[in-house]
Amino acid sequence: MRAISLVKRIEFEFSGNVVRNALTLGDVDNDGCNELIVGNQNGEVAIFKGEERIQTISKLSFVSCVAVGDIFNENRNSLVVVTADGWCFVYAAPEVPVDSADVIEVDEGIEQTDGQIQSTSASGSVETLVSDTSKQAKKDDKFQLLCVHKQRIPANAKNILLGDVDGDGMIEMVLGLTDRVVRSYRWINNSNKSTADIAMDADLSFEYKALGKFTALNKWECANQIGSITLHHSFDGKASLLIAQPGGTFMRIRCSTEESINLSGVENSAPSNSSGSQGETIPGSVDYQFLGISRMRNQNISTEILGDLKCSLNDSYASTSTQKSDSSKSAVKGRPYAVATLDGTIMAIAVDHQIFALTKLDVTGNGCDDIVVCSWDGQTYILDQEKNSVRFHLDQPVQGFASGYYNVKPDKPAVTCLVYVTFKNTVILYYDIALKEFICKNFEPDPELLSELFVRDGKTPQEAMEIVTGMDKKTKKRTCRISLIPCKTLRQFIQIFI
Amino acid sequence: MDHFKDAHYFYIPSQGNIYTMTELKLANGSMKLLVASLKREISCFEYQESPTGSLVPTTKEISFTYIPNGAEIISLDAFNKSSVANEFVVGITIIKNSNESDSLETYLNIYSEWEESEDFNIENIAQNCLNVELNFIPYKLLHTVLVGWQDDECLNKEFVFILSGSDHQVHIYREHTSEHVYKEIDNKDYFPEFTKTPSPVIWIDIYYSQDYTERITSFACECGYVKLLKVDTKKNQVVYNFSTRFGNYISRVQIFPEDEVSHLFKTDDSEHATKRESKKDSPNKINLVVINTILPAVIFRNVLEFGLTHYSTLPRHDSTSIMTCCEIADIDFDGEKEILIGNSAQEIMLLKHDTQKGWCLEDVKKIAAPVLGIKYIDISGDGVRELVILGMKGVHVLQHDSSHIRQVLQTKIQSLPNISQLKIY
Repeated sequence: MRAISLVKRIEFEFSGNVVRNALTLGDVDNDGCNELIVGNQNGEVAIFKGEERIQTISKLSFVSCVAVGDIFNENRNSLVVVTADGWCFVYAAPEVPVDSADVIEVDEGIEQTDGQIQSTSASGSVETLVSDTSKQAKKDDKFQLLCVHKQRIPANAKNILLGDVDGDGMIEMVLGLTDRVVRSYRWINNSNKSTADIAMDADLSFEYKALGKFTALNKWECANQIGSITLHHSFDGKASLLIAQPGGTFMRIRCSTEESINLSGVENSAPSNSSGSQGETIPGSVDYQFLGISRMRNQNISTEILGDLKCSLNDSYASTSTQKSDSSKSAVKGRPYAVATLDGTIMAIAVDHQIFALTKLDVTGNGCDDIVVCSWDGQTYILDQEKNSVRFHLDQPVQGFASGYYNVKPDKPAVTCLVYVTFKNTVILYYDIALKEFICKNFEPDPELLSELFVRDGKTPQEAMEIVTGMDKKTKKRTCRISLIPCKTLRQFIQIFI
Repeated sequence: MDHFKDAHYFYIPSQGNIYTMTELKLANGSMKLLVASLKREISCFEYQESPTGSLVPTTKEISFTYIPNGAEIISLDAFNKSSVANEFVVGITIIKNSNESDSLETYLNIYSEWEESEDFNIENIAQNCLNVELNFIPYKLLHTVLVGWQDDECLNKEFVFILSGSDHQVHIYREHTSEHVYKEIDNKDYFPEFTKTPSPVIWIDIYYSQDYTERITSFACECGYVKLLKVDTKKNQVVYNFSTRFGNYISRVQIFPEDEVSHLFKTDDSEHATKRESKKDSPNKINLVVINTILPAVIFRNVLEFGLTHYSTLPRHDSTSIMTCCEIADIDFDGEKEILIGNSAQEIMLLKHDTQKGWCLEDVKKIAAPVLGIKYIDISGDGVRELVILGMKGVHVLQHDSSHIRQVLQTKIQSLPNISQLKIY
């Protein structure tokens, strides 16, 4: 398998254990640049921007899930932190930059922020400044996230998903719990006061700024442990939740409005076109699917699932999608989804390493999402939708992995990145992944171009073409190599040899 | 160097050094790479073409016999005795740590196949070993041809191993075919240029010109002593020698002719090579590049005419890195050679010659590990060479972007004058 090495990297210091879903990449301060957010078991959440840590939220408990999304449905991103003991915190950057001095009083975790404002004179190292109001007032671009909401929810959340799961245009929060339960929530505003008053409330330490709360919508119980949760849209644009279950199976939940549930019975027949998959169709909104690969059908092996893979919808793709239908099934003309079992089977490709993270990222920039999986020992496999693969090895064990886009410099566009949380108290971020194509090919000169060479030698185009097509591989190779040398000597060469 | 894309990367289990990468050029033109690492692992890398046309990289670990546990590999070299078949000889120098802490045993292991065979099998070669015990610590191992002359007639050309050692001497090992052993031969008889040096020789480069009648040898020592000699191979006499001293450890010396073509013919078409070479070599300028580890690298121009007097220092962008290796090749197809220097700061510096400004630092390419070796060889076997870089942790293969090559080829062919017209004159 082809392997690559990555050069551009940033190393952050971050201690503590990080669980699978406690890291994410997203634009948490709404400035158009992506940040990296990592939370650990000691209750610290660090936000990295560019090459430095811009904020540390501490004094939380075991951080199990971190997500960035427009949870308030006001076209602004916020940071959702869920702890294992059942607290859900929402952090948001104030719309108007607050005077940093005010932040001191904010109770929930941001206590340390005051001392950790970094100077913009980027010396690379984190500079700790004593709070100086006049100085910091100038730094309008420095956002500090404030805790705007805190709510008690059932404990033991391990997966988080922010997305519009029911097609109503509103972002919901879906949590997967270790006790086999999936719950969905939606933010309900308290209409008395608008959430826009955040900035004004910033100095009120014990009053939470976002008025409203998460209201539970649904609760589903699964038969087995939840591997991961993903949002998937079928070809007609209907959203469904896919919940990975051990042994390469998964549960599909359609939590749409009444009419669409009625339709779903009809739809169900469409994706199960693949021979290997059988849909245990339950009338209503939940059904179980499993894959046709026997290797994956071990009930003891956890499964990861990833929906909504972007792909360029052209004819060539349509043919390949049917070929691989028993591994990664794709509804006809719909987006495919990927299923991987943690013993190392990704879309019917078996690897020797125990994988733990399944992510998607358009690494090559061709418009199709590639699948990036990471194993505990640092082996990272990048697969495209045609099952071509490239390997990258981080030569140390990994406890957390994410892939996505990151802004290394605020004025530069976001670049692809792979994020590894190691066991050595570091977070390693590889950016600008230099992978343009999956397959390396030999250089094959165009026959027309080579025949030109002989046309110059006085042959007619037809004769020249015949010479070129009649060439064996070795001569072609030599001609090609010779042609690359400068013209003057090339002329000499042709006079001598050809 | 943006036109190079990362084609492949493979790990080596332990670190190599500046002597541990060599290429094997098979009789059918395909190329393999042999990389050794300190702790006995030797891998053979090659590209295979799959039926669909994609290149499949394969790395095989070869277990060479007679490299005991605990031994460490110092240097590696390989050559093909035959020009038409595969008759490979691989030399590996090892250092064996005995239990008694102060006794070090060092060996030169020479591997070859029993008989000439059509297909190349590295495993067979690895099993057939001839042992030469050394009484010094080996350094650079290389091979060269030894030409036997009789009244202006070239009698024979045979390959010999040249090994520099910690005893400040250069040793030559020649095969005794009848006894099937390699024996050390006396320098004075064949290589008068290798006299005792002030410190161990780090690197040796040998260049034959004028149809093997002249040999230009250059070597550099640990203390910074550089010597350049011209030897008349018929009379076996040193024609002239130049020496200079740099105040630091030298990692590499490289002789290169300014003209690419004769070199190209030599590698491409052995039957035409000799014929062309004699004609082309006479006006050719020979340059010498000396890579200092700490000081800037130096290029000596036209050494046959001016000796070591016409020199210029090569620019560098930082003064803290250690320069370890270099490769001199025309990597951008403009007909002018570029100098690539690898350093410990995980970079490859590309130096380009400008007629007005001299040598300029054109580009710096970042590599994932400190660089120990660079080779510009056609490992993929398509006629376009790749840049193979030995790093501290593994080997990188950088391939030219195919669309770029296509463009270059097109402009070259289109700018070509009509040959039929030229033939009239």
